[in-house]
Amino acid sequence: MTGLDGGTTYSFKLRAYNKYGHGDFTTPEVSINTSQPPAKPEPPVLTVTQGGFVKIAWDEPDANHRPVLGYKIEIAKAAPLPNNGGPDFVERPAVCSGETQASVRYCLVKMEDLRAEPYLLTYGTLVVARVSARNERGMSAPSEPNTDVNGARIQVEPTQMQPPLRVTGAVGDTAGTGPTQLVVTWT
Amino acid sequence: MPDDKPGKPDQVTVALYDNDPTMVEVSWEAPDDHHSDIEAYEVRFLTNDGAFVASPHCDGAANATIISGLACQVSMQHLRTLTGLPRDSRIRAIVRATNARGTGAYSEVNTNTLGATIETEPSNMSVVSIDVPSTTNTVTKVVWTPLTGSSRGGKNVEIEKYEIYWDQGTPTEDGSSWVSLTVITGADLA
Repeated sequence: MTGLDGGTTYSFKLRAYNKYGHGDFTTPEVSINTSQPPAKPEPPVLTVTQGGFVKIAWDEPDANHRPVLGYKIEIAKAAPLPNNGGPDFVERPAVCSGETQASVRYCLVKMEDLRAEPYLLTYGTLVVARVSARNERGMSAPSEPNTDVNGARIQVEPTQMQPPLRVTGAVGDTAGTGPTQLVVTWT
Repeated sequence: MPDDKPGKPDQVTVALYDNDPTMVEVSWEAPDDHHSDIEAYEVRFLTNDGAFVASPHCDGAANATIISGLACQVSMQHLRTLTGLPRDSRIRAIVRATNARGTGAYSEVNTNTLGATIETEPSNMSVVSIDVPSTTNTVTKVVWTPLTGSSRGGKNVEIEKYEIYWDQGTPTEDGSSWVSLTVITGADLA
């Protein structure tokens, strides 16, 4: 049956015919309230928060006549799929659970989690994610990955510093190291 | 040889009528008339109770065509009512002839295992269902199990079509909100 309207209940029954006529209708008739998995979501938006987290935020897509029950958040690994297969997306609910965060529709992901297995993202790498939505009819198609070059990039702790330098000031230089003060500089 | 009542006919043949397969034709060979023209035939059908009953559609006394054609046609629906036989039961009949000297003996009951059987409209249609996984906002799939064997109306009866109705919500002129949606015929029956 085609040309139906989503979210509408349709009932059907049928009967068979032979050369003598038709038999009884099937009983009971069957009904269906038309629906389908949610529409493909828009790409998520990734930003770095003040606390050093990567915030993955997304919007609710068209639910297609069944409430959205949860989301699947996948983050791309540093290593792409073989044979130019594109980004290798991995879901780690412990890192970002689209199910528990369904009501607020965002996750705060630690930088260290993105630098660790399985993602192994390195400093300066743009964090790429995609999102899928789920209702009782199933999972939507995954969104396109975020592509905004101004999005969240991997940050790391400062590298080890070089040893500081003790500076001896010139004679008469009151700003230099002297009996009562020590001037230290570093790179 | 002196005139006498007709001889005992051979067994009748009971088959679906070629010109209308919803009818049953009973035919027979003329018995020995013993030099006196046959004036009537009487055909009786075996009922579910073991009795033999006559049908007005096979009254050879009132219908010259039956006498000359040595056959009569009865609708399957009439036979079902007349005999009370269940579907796929073999239709059994006897015939006897009458001339001016009297009425002859009935034939033996036909024993041909290839004769017509009781047929009906389809029955035992299995419950229709919806294929939910393939349903979208705009498309759904109604599925059912095709009738086979006796449930088609008889083991030799073919299903000609399935007709799907849907409840369009608003009563039509006949007071029902159910309207025909589509008919499945031909190759789509498989």
